[in-house]
Parts: sequence; structure tokens; C-alpha cells
Amino acid sequence: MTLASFQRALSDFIASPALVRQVWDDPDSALAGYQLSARERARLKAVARQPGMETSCALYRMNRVTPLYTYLRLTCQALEGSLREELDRFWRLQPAHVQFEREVEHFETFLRSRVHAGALPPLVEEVLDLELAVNALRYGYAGSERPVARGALALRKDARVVRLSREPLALLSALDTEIPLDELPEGEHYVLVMGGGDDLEVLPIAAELGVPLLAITRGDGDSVPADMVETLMDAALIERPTEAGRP
Amino acid sequence: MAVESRPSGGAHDLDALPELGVGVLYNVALPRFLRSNPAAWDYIEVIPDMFWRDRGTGQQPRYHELDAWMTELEWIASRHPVVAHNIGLSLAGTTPLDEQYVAKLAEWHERFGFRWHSDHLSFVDVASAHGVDHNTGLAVPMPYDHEVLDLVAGRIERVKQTISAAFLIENNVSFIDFPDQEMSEPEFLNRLAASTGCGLLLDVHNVYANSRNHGFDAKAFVDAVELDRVIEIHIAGGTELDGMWLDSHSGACPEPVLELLDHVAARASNLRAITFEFHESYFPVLGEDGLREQLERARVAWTRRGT
Repeated sequence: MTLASFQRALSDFIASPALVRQVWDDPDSALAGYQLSARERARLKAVARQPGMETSCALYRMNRVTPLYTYLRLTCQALEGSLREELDRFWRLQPAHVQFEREVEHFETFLRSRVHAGALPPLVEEVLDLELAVNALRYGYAGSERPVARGALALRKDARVVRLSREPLALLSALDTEIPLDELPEGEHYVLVMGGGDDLEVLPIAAELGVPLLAITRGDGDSVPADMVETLMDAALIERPTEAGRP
Repeated sequence: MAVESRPSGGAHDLDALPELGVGVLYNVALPRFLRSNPAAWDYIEVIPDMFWRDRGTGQQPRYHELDAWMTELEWIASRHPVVAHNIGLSLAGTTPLDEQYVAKLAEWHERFGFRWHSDHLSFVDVASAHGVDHNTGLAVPMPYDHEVLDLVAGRIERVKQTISAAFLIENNVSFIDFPDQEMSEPEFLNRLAASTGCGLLLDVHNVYANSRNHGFDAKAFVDAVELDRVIEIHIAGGTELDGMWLDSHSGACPEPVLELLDHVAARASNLRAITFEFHESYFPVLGEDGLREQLERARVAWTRRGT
């Protein structure tokens, strides 16, 4: 069915200005992978050269960058000079999704894989964790958060904890002002994100609190000493959910 | 070749539609305005996909309705008419129709009593080389050929089998122009309406954008459309990017769009609704006064509509 192949070619053009340029330079090679009628082939060659194709490519990229900048603005800034290259790589690997949340989830998975492969600095993943924590409480987006087992220790539902290797306020300031992140001194810092909707607080906390809270978040509550569990329970920072489910 | 006969019941669907008046496409900037300006609007148009999270085909449950959004929809639907403006039927697409999605729309139709449904004359789903369907990231137009006409008509019929409501098709904004098309866009719209019994949602901002970008006379275009099939009109603002006019829904309507609105409304004898579309990010620029002005301007056209 050539119409399906025509649609695939057209959508591939819109997603890839490089493919459009390839059609300009060597149309037979660029279109070799598509089963097309002579008229469809002629149409694709024609529209590849129209100014409106460039506009379509730009709109595609605007549509795809919008969810990422809406929900992961700081993470995009943490990518610094590699942002454009990483976006191109992501868009090549991952087709679009009409729902913002799914696009954000896919970008999260992509970035974590890039960090774990050593292609991006770990600080990118830390900023990602911070923004996902904020999104979870502000919008209820669970993302890749692990479900809580019934009876297991868990953070209270309106709280998240994140570990950062830079001082939190200095990091946020650097992201906003585009100060190079490698100029910030390294250390071990924790923040507690609490609240919901537009009423959120991001509080720096000591490692004595941050380490056990993070362990509990990761499902490793058994490693936390009993007296600390009692302290966190008394402070109403953790709980034992009676039902399994999302945090 | 396209089927020329009108399906039984199609014309009746359109004749029975209520006159709604002036409305606005729902977005997150609107709740306070809607409550404080009840006289400014008569109905609300909603994009159902904005009110839920779609976890994807095969997931159980696939759709998760968003509490805050649902509260607003229930408030609106309990007081005013609501119409559904869909974005996921991929009417010009060759991938299989997403039956789960259509079933969800049908469920919402029963729940919220949508006065009618609409979607765009484009495709948004495509099969990759490996056969996996994915979103195109942009509503993509198709050539106005008989093959595409049959494809779109067939999909509309499938939708109408599941959702027992009048269905409107919206004209495209298109930045590319396919050579050697078998029909003009107005001819395609007229034939599609005749073969399926669907109505037309004429987006006059899209007509304006296309006329600017492709150099044709917007009034001649709308005059070539069978305006008695126009049930709803969309108006909106746009922006220019590198010489191309975009349908960015960026606030107030340009004057030529309002002139086109007046021209069409005066001639569309079955017009039931005029909807103003804007993106929520432009609300701080538009403001409550600006939004009221757009709706008041639409109401002028509504009161002068053809009968």
C-alpha cells in the first residue's frame, strides 16, 4: 500500500531536516526505503523544496521541545552546550507522543541511559530527579517512581527527597544565570520537596536526614536504624501505607 | 472513486443540532474567566485528550482522568452545552483506527452529552518502518485525491458507528502544497460532506493562513465551500515565522480573519456555533478584557448570521 509509505516518508521529512536535505541532494537514495508511486515520489521531491517544509520541520521541533521545556526546564539548562545535540539524538531514537507526560517520561529514560553510559555528567540526572520530584507533587506525574509495597516504609505522600552533588541554592542560581555548572564546588547535599499544587517548598536538609529518607524512597527502609525510623515517624516524614500503590 | 450518496440519517443529524452561539476552546487559563463572565460565552468546546493521561494501547486502565481537569469539565457540563473537538482520530491516516480511543470518546459522549464531535482533515498517527504506530508530532495534511477522500470517509463512517452524534470535519492549515492534486480543498470538503453526511467546521484562521502562505483569495476559497454544511466556525490569532503565517492561536484575531468570519457567518445558513481558540500561554497578553472583546466580536457575527 503506497499511501502508507507516502505518509511515513512525509512524517519522516517533518521529523528530520537532514532527510529533507538528503532529498534535495540525492532523492533516489533518500527515498529508496519507501514504496511509492511515481506521483507520490514527485510530490515528495516537490514539497521537500518548499519553504513550508522548513516551517513544518520547525513546528515539529517546537511541538516536541515544548513539553520538555515546560516540565524539565532546569534539566534542559543542566545539559548546557549539549542540549541541542542531545535533543536531536532523543528525537532520532524516540518518536513523538501527543501527550506531554509520555514525552517527558521518554526523555527521562533517555537521559538516564545517557548518564549511566557516561555520555552525560551525573549532575544532569540529579537535576532531573529534582524536577521530577517537583512535577510529582505539583501535577501528580508519577513518572518512573517505584510503587510502594503495602506495609513497607515510605515517605509521606506529599514529600520527596533528592540528593544533589552541588549546594542546592547555588545550583539553582547557576542554572538560572547559565553559570557553568562545573564551576560549582562538589559536596553531598539533600533537599526535601514538600507540598502540592502551587504550594511547594524545597528545603535543604542535613545528610543525617537525607540519607535515610533516600534509602526509604528507594525501598531500602530495612537499612535505616530503628531509632531513626522512630524519629522520622514522629516527625511525620515517613509512614507505612496500608495499601500498595504509587507514592 | 468516492461514494457520492449521503448515508441515511446524516442530514438529519445536522438539521437537529442546537444553535449554541459563541464559545471558547477550553484551556487551563479559563476557569476563573468562565465563572466571572458567564454572559460572555454560551458553550465550551473541549479537547477530550487534555483531560486524561493516555498510558498507551494495551495498558489497563489505559486512560487516567485528571482530577483537577475533571472537576472543571463537570462544572461546565452541568451548566452549559459542551462540544468535543478531537485530535486523535487521525482521519486521513492509514494506520488502523484506534478502537479503544473511539470507545473512550463514545463513553465521554454519553457522559457529557457532547452536542457534536469534530476532528481535523489530517493524519497524526503513522506506522514506522518496523510497523509500530507513532505520533507524527504535527498534524500532517494529505493531497486532495479520491483515494484520500475514500480513506477519510471510511474512517468517519467507522467513528459514527461507535459514536452516535453529528460529526464535523475541520479544514487544515497546511504549509506545503502537493502538486497534481485531483481536487481543490473546497471540492474535497464538499464531496466529503456529501458522501459522509458530516458537517464542516470551517476554521477561517486556517483559511487566512493558507491564503497568505500559498497566495490565494480567502473569500473565493470560502465561497467555493458549500456553506450550508458549515455548522461551526473557528476563529483565532496567529504569528509569522520566516515569512509563513502560523496557526499559533496567539491571542486576538487579525482583522482579515474577522472579516472572513463576517463573510462566512452571513452565508452559512446552518451555522450553530462560533468558537474562539487561544493558547493558554497567551492569556496574560490577551487578558480578561481582550478575551471578552474577542467573544463580543464573535457575537456580532453570530447575530448577523445567515438564516
